[in-house]
Amino acid sequence: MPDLMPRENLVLRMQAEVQRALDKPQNSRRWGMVIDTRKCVGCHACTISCVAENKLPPGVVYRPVLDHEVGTYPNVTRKFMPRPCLQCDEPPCVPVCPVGATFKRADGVVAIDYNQCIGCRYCIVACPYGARTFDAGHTYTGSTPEQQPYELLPSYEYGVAHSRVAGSEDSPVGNARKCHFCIHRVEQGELPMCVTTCIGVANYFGDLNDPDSIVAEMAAKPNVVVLKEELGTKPSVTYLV
Amino acid sequence: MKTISTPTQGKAGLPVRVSWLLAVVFAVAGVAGIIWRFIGGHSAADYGSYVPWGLWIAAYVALIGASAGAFAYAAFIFTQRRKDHYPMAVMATLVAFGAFAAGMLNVWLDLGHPMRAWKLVFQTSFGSVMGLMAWLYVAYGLILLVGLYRMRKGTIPSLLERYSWVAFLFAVLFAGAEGSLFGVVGAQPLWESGLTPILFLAESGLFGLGLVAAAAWIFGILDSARARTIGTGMLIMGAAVLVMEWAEFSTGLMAGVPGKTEGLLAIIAGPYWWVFWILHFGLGLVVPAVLLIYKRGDAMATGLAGALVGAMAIASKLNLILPAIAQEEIAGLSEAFSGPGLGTTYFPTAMEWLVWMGTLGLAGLVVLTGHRYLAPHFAKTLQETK
Amino acid sequence: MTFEVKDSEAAPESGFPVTRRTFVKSAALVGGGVALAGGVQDWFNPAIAETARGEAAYALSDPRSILHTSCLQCNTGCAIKVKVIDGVVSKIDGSPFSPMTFWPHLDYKTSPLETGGIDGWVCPKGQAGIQSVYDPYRIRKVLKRVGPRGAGEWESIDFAQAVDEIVNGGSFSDGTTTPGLREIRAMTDPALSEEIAAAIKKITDEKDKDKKKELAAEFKTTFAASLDQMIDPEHPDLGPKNNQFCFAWGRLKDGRGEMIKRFTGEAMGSVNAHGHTTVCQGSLYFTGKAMSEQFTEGKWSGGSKFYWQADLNHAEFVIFVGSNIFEANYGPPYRVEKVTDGLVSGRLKYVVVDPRMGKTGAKAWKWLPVKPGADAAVALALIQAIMRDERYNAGFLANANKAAASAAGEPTFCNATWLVKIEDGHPAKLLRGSDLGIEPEEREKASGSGTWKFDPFIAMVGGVPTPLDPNDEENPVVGDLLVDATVEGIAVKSALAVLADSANEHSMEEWAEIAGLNVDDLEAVAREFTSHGRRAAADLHRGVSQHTNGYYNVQAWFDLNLLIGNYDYAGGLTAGKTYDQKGGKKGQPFPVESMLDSALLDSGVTLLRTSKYESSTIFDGYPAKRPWYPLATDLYQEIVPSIGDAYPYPMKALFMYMGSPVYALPAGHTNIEVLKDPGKLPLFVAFDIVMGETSAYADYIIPDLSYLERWEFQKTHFNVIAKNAPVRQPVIAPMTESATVFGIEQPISLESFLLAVAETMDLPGFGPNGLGEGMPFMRPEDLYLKEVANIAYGEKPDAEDAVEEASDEELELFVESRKHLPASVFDEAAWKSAIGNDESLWRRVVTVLNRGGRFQGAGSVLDGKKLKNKYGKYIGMYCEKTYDTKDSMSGEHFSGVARYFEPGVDSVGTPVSALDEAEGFDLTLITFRTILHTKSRTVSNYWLNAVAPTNHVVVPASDAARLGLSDGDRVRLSSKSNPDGVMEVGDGRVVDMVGEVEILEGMRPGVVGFNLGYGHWAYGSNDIVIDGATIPGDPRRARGIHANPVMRTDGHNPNMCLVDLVGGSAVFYDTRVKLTRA
Ligand SMILES: Nc1nc2c(c(=O)[nH]1)N[C@H]1C(S)=C(S)[C@@H](COP(=O)(O)OP(=O)(O)OC[C@H]3O[C@@H](n4cnc5c(=O)[nH]c(N)nc54)[C@H](O)[C@@H]3O)O[C@H]1N2
Ligand SMILES: Nc1nc2c(c(=O)[nH]1)N[C@H]1C(S)=C(S)[C@@H](COP(=O)(O)OP(=O)(O)OC[C@H]3O[C@@H](n4cnc5c(=O)[nH]c(N)nc54)[C@H](O)[C@@H]3O)O[C@H]1N2
Ligand code: SF4
Ligand code: SF4
Ligand code: SF4
Ligand code: SF4
Ligand code: SF4
Ligand SMILES: [Mo]
Repeated sequence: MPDLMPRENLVLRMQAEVQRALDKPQNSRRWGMVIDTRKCVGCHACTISCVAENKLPPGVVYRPVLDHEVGTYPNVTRKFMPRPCLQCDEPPCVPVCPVGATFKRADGVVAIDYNQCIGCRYCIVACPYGARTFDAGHTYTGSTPEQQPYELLPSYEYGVAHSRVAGSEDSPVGNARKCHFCIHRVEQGELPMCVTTCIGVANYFGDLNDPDSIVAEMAAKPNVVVLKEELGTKPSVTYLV
Repeated sequence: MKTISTPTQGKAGLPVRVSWLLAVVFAVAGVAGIIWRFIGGHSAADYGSYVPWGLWIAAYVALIGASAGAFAYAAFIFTQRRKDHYPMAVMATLVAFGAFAAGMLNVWLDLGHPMRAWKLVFQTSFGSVMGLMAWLYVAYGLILLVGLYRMRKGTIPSLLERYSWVAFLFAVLFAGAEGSLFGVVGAQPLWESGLTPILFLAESGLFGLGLVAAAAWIFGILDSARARTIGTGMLIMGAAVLVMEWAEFSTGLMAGVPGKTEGLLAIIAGPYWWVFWILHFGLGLVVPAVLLIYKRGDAMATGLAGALVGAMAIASKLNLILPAIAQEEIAGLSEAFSGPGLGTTYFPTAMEWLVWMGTLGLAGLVVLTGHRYLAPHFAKTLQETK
Repeated sequence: MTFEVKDSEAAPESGFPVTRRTFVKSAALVGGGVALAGGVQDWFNPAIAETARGEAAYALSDPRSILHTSCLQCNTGCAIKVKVIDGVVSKIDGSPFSPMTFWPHLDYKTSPLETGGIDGWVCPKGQAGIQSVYDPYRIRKVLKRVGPRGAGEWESIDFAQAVDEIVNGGSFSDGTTTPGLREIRAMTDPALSEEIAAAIKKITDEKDKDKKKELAAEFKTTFAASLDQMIDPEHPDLGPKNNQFCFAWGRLKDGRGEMIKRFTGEAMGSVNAHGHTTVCQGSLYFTGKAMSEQFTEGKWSGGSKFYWQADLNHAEFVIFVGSNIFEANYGPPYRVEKVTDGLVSGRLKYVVVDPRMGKTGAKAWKWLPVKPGADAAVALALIQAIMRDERYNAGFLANANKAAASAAGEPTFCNATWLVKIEDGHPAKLLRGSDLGIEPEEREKASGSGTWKFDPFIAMVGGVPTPLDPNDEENPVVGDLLVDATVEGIAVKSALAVLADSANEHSMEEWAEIAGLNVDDLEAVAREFTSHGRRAAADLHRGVSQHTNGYYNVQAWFDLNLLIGNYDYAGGLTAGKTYDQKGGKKGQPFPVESMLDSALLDSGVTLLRTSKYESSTIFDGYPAKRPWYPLATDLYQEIVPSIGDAYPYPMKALFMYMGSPVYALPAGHTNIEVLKDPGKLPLFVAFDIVMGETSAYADYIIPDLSYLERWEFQKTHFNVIAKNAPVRQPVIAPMTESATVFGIEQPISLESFLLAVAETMDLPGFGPNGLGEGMPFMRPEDLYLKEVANIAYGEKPDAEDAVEEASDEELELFVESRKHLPASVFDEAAWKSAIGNDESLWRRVVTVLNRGGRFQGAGSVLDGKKLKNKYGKYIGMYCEKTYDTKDSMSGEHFSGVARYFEPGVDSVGTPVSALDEAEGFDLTLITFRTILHTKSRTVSNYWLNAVAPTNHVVVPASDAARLGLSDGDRVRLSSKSNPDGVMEVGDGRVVDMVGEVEILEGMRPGVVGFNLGYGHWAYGSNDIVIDGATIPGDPRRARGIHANPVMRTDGHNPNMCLVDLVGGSAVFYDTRVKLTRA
């Protein structure tokens, strides 16, 4: 019988590890995520938390969760797979960008400079994981009797307040957009939104270069799988099955 | 057909008048579309994220390809000093410019931030084929403009004749590069093929020749000899396209590469099967081939075949783009979250059609005005060559 | 080039795009009055957004922009932290202070100044709560109908006018008039109300029919002067006319609950305050109540309306029965992590007993796709196997009283060994000392007011009948388990033997056949269940209880749990604990329920007949006109139909708070006919935040505050093992207009409206001395702050159990983080004065509010192998009180023991499911939740709709093949009671019971289902007219199917769904339907 001792709070542990990584220079940390599909219950809390945190408009999604039923009655199960940007180490989305608006940071995050992006969507085409979406400027409540204020609040992506109010210069409207590991939170010592909110605590996040971190430990498990490994994209997000 | 009809020679011929009418109508539609585009932004379009590119990119690729083909044809004529074909070369240059302008307008309006287009040239990332293309476009546009400018007086400067081979090579390179814009995308199994740039080349030649043949016929400079030559060119290019497509489909379907197979099947047996079979294959290849073979040297038939080939270019490019990107990167992705642009089906919206028509109208107007401006000057030159 | 924010649904093909549809805006719905801080329209002004930019790089972790409160996107009420930017909610996250949303959660002493950057867990609905609050269809002014009820036309009126018309009567453009509350509140004298109540009690308590008649006649003379205040002087037990006022609610939590009860009972003097429990998991609650009835001073009483759930944190094996823990239940943020942790660490394995696999079943060790309603068969099969193999916890079961339990270190005990009299082969009443000639013993009442007679129960001890007192703490009685004997000529069996008989009514093979499962699985589950000591549990929910046999399904499963004695054990069953806000415990500062200036005492039979039919003077043989439910309360499905049938008496007024019976109930559409008819229901007032499917029929709609704008005490849920009390408090400015009540400006809301009515009618329990002499009840905080103070103070005298006083920094944070709240809500002086300006208490209140509630530490949840927070009492395996109650339709006793009863039987015993099936309605319809939606009220959450734009008719693959259906096909559902598969809204619209097919393998063949939350015909999905302007509905809110109208109605009372007569459940899963291509 396993004992009855209280368990460790994984979120707090990972937050401490993030803090530890932040104390190092940017280029010696490498953010990564391991998603434990055994613990994922397909609830979409991560999807929606990301939408809310990053003020994503209709048509823009950073972390959809795929849901497949497998087997036949009565031997059936369902598999869930959240899909953030995998922050590839060899990101096919980066070299195609004609203006260098998207780039790989020293800490492993593949970022988009919202003020540089011209919205050509070449990177969207180039991502083999469908991880980029285009912000066409929709709103959820624009077609209703009243546009609601929460949609126009700034997002803090990349540590800058980006407004969706019409005409503002740093608006992400017209850009390609994608998951950025919530680097604006991570650099404050917090975890990506999808990681903190996950009701299954199915995500491990932290510095893959830190051997003592739980994410590094999990990333080295034998039951880790890499999405479309054959493409050689070397994702920083892997899955436990 | 010994004379060419020019405005100075009295009333324009019916095809020209019809062309004017069409071009103006298209342009007016386009103005409405463009206003809509700027008010409604991209939310008024049906392309988005899972199908990031649509009609405009297809049109852009088709038009740029055709432009390169047309220009290569002109350059070839100049290089060969085939003076009897010089009117065709001039027409080709004009067509190349019109198609280029229209293509550029398509892609410009397609940008999320059209006003940042300058970054493409001034903040280029040369590692990107598209970045490279941006410079090639600038260069190409300049070459066309300079060429047309130098030709404006009705004489073909010897400089042009001398360096045309460079221009020819450039056009070939350019068309091929356009192809590698797609060929390098590893994420799209349907494109990632060494054949893609070559196919692009052949298609460019085909579409370019087609448009030139059509324009030449409209403006009445297509005599039987010219028709025969250009018709032969079109047949050769068409055959090349067919062979390459055959190779692509047979290997692709047989190898069973996931993503590729579905894409190819979607093209030939998907809901838009008719785009491939009727538009591309039927109207774009078979019918023109039949016309060209059975009516060899017939100006009207050749012009018509050219028009068909040119018009169906868009079908071929739509087939290049849509089925490829409409494949879910990961099965079930489009069901995981819904919203505008997150579907795998795409059909251009009215706004997209209008804008697209407008760009074609623009191409038409460029060619028609160009012709109206150049023709008087050329009258003599052109006459002489006869 | 600039981009404008675009209309997401300006469908490209729909013509020329518009930046924003330009509607004629009705100020009543939108934009009017005091809206958001600064007004919504200002948000279109880039200048304001500019100020939001460039401030702190990440403003969302600044403690000054964070307030802690409680979610209400579903009834779990998780503790949340709300991040507010410029007065607008920017983000909602789980609170790290609460066990529900973080585990192990932060030490309560942690300063909220340090926790800005620590977010807890919430589910997707919790995240999307922003969209329930900022719903473009929110109502901000009082609406009064124009034209007939339900016609969809409204005018906005002044708050004062509404109060006046509702108090004094109103008239409508269609010529109808409504009575006023003043008229309905016929009895106004508190002293008289007490006398009348006493007289009524006497009549009701009288067993003898003739004497009852005499007492009733006597009443007429005694109260001759007041008979005009009675509903029916011939039947005084129906009570005063005040009872013709009914306050009904759907989702009501404490705080507001106290307020409504005070208004209805003490102020209006009506017994008719009714909730929605039976639509929810009625029989789960009422079996819990029956099993927790305690033997007190000679009577079975004090049963709590509650149920047990599994402690997933420590369990090693769990059977989830109709318990949808990954997608619903109470609630995913707390429960899921316990399971995923257990799965990956190897601690836990579980079984899902559910006709639908769902997400929970996907990770189960075994999914047992039971036939709907055959749940008791599964439990009884397991009981049989366990009894057969003697794998039960004999030690636990043998403890027959408190002393025996304490001696064995057991927190609970049950009556497994008590002897039950067997009459005609059936278990009847418990054997008592008096049956054996033992003279009952005279005992003092605890209150000191007289004596009662103790007549002991009997257990067999070593074959000797032994009297026992369940509450005896000194003399342990350890009984024989399986007894079948005759004592003094009376045939008796032990309760356990009686249960074994139920379990042996069929063989394992037969049980398997009934349940549609296989024996091997049942045997394996029985073995596993008994292989983990107390760290195993069966966790039940709606799928078990919402059947005509729901009560007994639940009892069978709770009995199974009794066999391993897992109650109050880590990894077993838990009852949860919360901090009491009512102040009822000794030493607490504000016993709010008894703080009154004066009050009416309500009396009489309730509208829902929650007393014994036989004891009423309108008893008229069997079957009763409508069923009576002495073992249940809050029978949602009975409210409107009973009004319609004027049984037991006609009603004058219905207030409906946050409930939508028309949408929520099975066959809820049958309510429409009554709600639409002012003849049957003269006055109908609804409190709502939008125009819901039920409020659409109201005479007046009082706009309410959303969950982020108001107070409530969410308390806890039974499965949370740490003591837990999230407090819901206003975190943003109210969106409703404001009004002046008792001279104080306050937002229009449930509270301000009730206060205004009280002011106008001078009702007791409200006003300057409403909470006792010198204690005003003139604004909500007068009550609620006192309740917060009770929580802060704790439940022990001398502040022994109080939270710490907030530091100066925390006080500052308290004010700073509320700077966007207007004075009509946050008025520090008024708040402080509500708790008597006690500085120390105030600081404790601040401590609680700064953390959004009070939470026990994760380190203190265990007591060895037991749970710290215990139920700790007697549990009835055999429920004598249930046996002692008669079915008002057949006149027969209910069973005191769990048994398998066929599901799908109507109130007069007709097996409607079987009959309907024979008529070709060959599929069983079930319903379930997904985590994305909460009932009628999340369709406004566009983010959630982006994940699932519609719901489906879920069809098992084999049935789909048989019917030739494929994914996306449209099918119509129909049933015997809704043969056309349609629903009439009453405004001319007809809603088709048509949905899109989704084919699943994870569904038991023969069972189809749909998930809750879609298929709206109101709630912003349809056009309505306010002040002459049309507010267009949003087609995104109308998608999908809501098939409740297809659910089977009762044969005897066709204006109501099927019911469980014992536990009161509204029945959701026993309808046979047909699918036809639409
Ligand atoms: N098909 C199907 N039907 C079901 C169920 C099922 O599983 N399947 N489950 C049942 C269960 S468990 C329950 S508990 C019932 C619940 O049913 P109800 O208790 O009737 O409650 P809700 O649907 O939560 O909300 C009712 C109405 O309250 C109003 N409202 C929303 N927010 C607020 C607010 O903040 N203030 C006020 N004053 N009003 C508000 C809206 O009009 C909303 O329609 O539904 C039942 N119905
Ligand atoms: N997402 C979400 N969460 C919620 C709510 C919500 O509306 N949405 N509401 C809250 C409320 S008020 C409640 S009451 C709870 C409800 O919590 P649950 O009762 O756990 O949730 P439901 O989905 O209604 O559960 C019914 C389950 O019973 C199954 N079932 C149907 N028929 C049978 C049967 O005959 N036998 C068995 N064994 N199973 C059967 C269904 O397939 C389904 O899985 O959820 C709470 N949490
Ligand atoms: S997942 Fe796609 S978007 Fe993300 S880094 Fe890799 S290629 Fe780029
Ligand atoms: S869309 Fe933006 S980020 Fe992507 S390739 Fe084009 S410019 Fe670069
Ligand atoms: S890391 Fe942040 S941006 Fe990426 S999916 Fe998670 S929440 Fe979204
Ligand atoms: S929040 Fe966690 S459990 Fe839910 S879908 Fe996302 S990863 Fe899975
Ligand atoms: S489970 Fe319910 S209360 Fe908890 S966050 Fe989700 S919706 Fe809110
Ligand atoms: Mo419920």
